[in-house]
Amino acid sequence: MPKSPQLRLDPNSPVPAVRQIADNLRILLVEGQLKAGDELPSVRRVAMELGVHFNTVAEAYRQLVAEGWLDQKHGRGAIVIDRAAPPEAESGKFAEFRQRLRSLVAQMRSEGVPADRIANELREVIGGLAK
Amino acid sequence: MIMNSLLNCLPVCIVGSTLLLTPNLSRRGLFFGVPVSPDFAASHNAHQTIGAFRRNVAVAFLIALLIAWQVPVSSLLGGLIPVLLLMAAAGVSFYQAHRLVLPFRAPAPSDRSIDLLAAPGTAPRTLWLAAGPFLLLACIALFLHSHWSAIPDKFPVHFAADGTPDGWSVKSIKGVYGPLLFAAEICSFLVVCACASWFGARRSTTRSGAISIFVAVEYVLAIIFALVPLQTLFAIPYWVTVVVAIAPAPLLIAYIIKKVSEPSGPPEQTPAECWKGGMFYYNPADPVVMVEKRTGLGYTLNFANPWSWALMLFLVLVVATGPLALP
Repeated sequence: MPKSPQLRLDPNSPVPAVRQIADNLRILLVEGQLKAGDELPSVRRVAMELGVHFNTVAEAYRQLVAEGWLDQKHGRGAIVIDRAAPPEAESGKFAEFRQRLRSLVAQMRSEGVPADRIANELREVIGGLAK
Repeated sequence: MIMNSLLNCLPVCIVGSTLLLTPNLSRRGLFFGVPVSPDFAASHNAHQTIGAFRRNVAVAFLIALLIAWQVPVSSLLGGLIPVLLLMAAAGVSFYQAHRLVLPFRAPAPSDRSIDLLAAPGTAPRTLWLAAGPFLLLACIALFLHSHWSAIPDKFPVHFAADGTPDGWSVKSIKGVYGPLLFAAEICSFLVVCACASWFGARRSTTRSGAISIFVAVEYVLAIIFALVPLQTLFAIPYWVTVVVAIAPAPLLIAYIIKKVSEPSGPPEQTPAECWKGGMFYYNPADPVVMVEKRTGLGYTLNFANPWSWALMLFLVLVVATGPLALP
């Protein structure tokens, strides 16, 4: 039986909660763990379970609605929608992505994370994209 | 006289025995309100802490019994003082034990999670059972209304230990229906608490057990208060009320011990610094109204949430209207 997707939040992380929630949801959406038609819990329920303010979750949901991932109806949870394929990103956007990725890898290596562990992690990400 | 003193000592005995059992009423992984490793409970430090706590409570128990033995049973405040003293002493002992265990606190997992595709929680069946006591009170009220002519002009509402009446009321709306109204107020408060622990708290395996306790207490109180006006029509022996009030206590404690000793998920992740003395939760960043208690089974208020204060105000109103409603 496939594992149900979990939304995680680290309250001790320096990354703001709203970004953690939006980023983690985006990962689940991109990797296909959340599919079109899936209904996400209400803002209130997510906020209570994660121990964050209602506005934090509402803002994360709003971001994903704006990106075309979710449809949100008042008083209900958000529904994952079939997102139309976005137009191919311009080359500048890809250069920025490459720069950020290289910078992130360099930062992890400087903090002592072994290169093979980073490579494994990247392979896992690539595996998720291939699904 | 001896019967009066024995009756006076009864609530002290129930409260004292329950307090002595406090260390057995905590969920696995919690020790005097502190999250600890699973093997801590078998350690020397744990045994020492429990021993010190039980010694302090036992001394307070004996003093409270001595006071209860001396106080006249008719004095409500006099009857309450030994119980309140005992609870205060146990609270201080608990705080001391909590401080002793704090250095052995287990590191809390740093992340929280939610299952995104779990079915939305619907109210458990036990929550619907909470309507039963209101139905019972309404039926008793209708029964009394239909037998109004049979109700004597003056009837007993309080009894001494030997069964002789020592408190009387007169045939009036307040005298007959007052206890039922007061019971309905208390039951409403308990239903609100049960709803808050379901809809205003994080999901956990102990949630339905906590609601069952609220509903059970609601039934017991409704029956006790329903017996008072029924005394006007039936010669119900006073011991029936005493049995109804006391018999559920050991059952409730046995239920809690069974529930807390069952294997379950880890205790709810709440920041340790938000627990004041291991008993009171205050976290303005947490949107929940209620959190799992760290002692016993059930939920306690997040005192930083305004709805918690609304609940407290409700309780104050229930207590304050007691003298107005009761004969």
